[in-house]
Amino acid sequence: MQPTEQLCSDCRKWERQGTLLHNRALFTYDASMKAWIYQYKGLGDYRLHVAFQDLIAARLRHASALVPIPSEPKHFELRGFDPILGLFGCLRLRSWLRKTATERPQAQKTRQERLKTPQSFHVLVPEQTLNRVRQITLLDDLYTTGRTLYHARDALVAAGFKGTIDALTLIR
Amino acid sequence: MDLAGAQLTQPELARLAVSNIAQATVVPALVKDKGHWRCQRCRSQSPVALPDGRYYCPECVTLGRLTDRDSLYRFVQPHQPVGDGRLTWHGTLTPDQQAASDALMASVTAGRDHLIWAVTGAGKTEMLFPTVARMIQQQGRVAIVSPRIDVIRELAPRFRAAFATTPITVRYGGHFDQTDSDLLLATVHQLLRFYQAFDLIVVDEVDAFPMNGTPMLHQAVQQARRGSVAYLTATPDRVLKKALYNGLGVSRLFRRFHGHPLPVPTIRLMNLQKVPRQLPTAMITWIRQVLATERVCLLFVPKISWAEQVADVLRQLGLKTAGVASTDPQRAEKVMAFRQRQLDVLVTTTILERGVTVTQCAVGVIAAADREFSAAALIQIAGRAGRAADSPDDPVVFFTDRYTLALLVAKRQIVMMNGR
Repeated sequence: MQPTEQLCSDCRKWERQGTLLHNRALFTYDASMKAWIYQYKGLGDYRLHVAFQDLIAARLRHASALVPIPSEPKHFELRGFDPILGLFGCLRLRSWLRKTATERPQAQKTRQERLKTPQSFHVLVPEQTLNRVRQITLLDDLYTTGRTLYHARDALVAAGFKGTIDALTLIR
Repeated sequence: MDLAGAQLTQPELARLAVSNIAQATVVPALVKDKGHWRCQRCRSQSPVALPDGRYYCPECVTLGRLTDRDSLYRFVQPHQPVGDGRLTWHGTLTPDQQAASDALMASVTAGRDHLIWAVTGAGKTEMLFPTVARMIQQQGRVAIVSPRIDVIRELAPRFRAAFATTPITVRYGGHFDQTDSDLLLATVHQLLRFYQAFDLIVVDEVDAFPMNGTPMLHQAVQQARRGSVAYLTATPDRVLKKALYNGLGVSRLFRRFHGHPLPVPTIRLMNLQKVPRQLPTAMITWIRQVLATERVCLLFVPKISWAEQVADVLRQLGLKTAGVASTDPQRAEKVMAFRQRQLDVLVTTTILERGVTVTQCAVGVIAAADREFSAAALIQIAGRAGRAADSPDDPVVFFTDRYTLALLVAKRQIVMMNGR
């Protein structure tokens, strides 16, 4: 895919509300990616976690600090694995965030409901640890509205991180 | 709700709102057998570890994941018959068909498994009717299954007509629903939701994808059976042929119901480098000639992406055409339109190699040397032609740029079957 310098309408909306979080995705959310994510997260077929490992490793080899978006403890219990850690587990990750339980998973909400989801991320490490790196890349599997990633970014900034933050998702 | 014979998971029971699980035998979903995990639903021995220490079965995961902490609920109570099994089909069987049907009945009565090895278009379905009727009349329960959805779609109306007074359940994909009828028509996968439930299981097109190369589906048949299993195919694989020496009953039928021989394929060598962007002139000429004889044309291609591309090329030539593949959500509609002759040419992948009967239909295979076309596939494909008594000699052409063993074996076997 050829990167362009133009912003999509979604990003422009976020830009109007504050600073933009730069996100790159490896795939678009088409029928086959939908089927893949259903088998991986929906059915819980953990074997699929290695499917994109080569691509992901090549893409993130030179990134500074990789912070995965954590899954809710309840989801982990149900699935028996963390989908994000499964996908990006081949790299050195820094589990600096924790998520508290929300009433419903994002996947079951409408777009408007998703955008209204309150902040549920906590930063687990002190400010000094955060600021030992200059750049953080947030990692997630699927970018839909951006709500989750923006919350994660805001939590890191609120905890005192002074560097730059961008994001990479498998699918958008 | 009558759940006799069902083998269900916790979420499936919750979905059905079943409260009374007292009659169910509860077994762990995965058991450790000589140090290896084994799935009790599909019997496969390939469970995979999860990061939290649990194990799950990847083979049958599409029916809902089972881990070693889950349970299976087996309802072993006897099935309550609901239909009378009266045969409302009043056709007559040819002497060959009758002999095959009698042999099947004898095998089933003796509790033996049976292979019906019949050429494409022999009238296999009709041969089943007497035995299926007898089983249901004796309060038995019957499942007709196939690895191919299209085969089940094709069979369903024929069974509904033949057993008009017997409730029939047709099931492919989707969830488990109430299945208390005496006759189930379903894809083989669905048998994983039953345990020792059927007195007769008929597996149509047993050597077709995905059953070839998926032992789990053969296990699904084994654990859903209570009586005999009948296998139907025109191209039995090595395993089935070998089983003939070990007490598998067999009916051989090498003549079509209309008595005419199978159309023998013509192998035409030509340059296919520009396919699918462009088709050779000789191929287009052949298609036009075929259409001029009041026939429609079924064109097989080896790749999913080719189906639409070849259809586009033909459309530019002014032909009414469509492309179908397994990934096509409108597949059933397109096949229906073709059958009703609203289309001249249907371009398809091997998805339509079996079970599809269109009268007065010529068959062409583009790039027949491709690995996608095994000898069995080519025999099945050639069998789409000449299905009607008034047009038994529909042309079959394999367009290829080289000879392969599969091409020669396919042609030789068709000639052999015609000679018997």
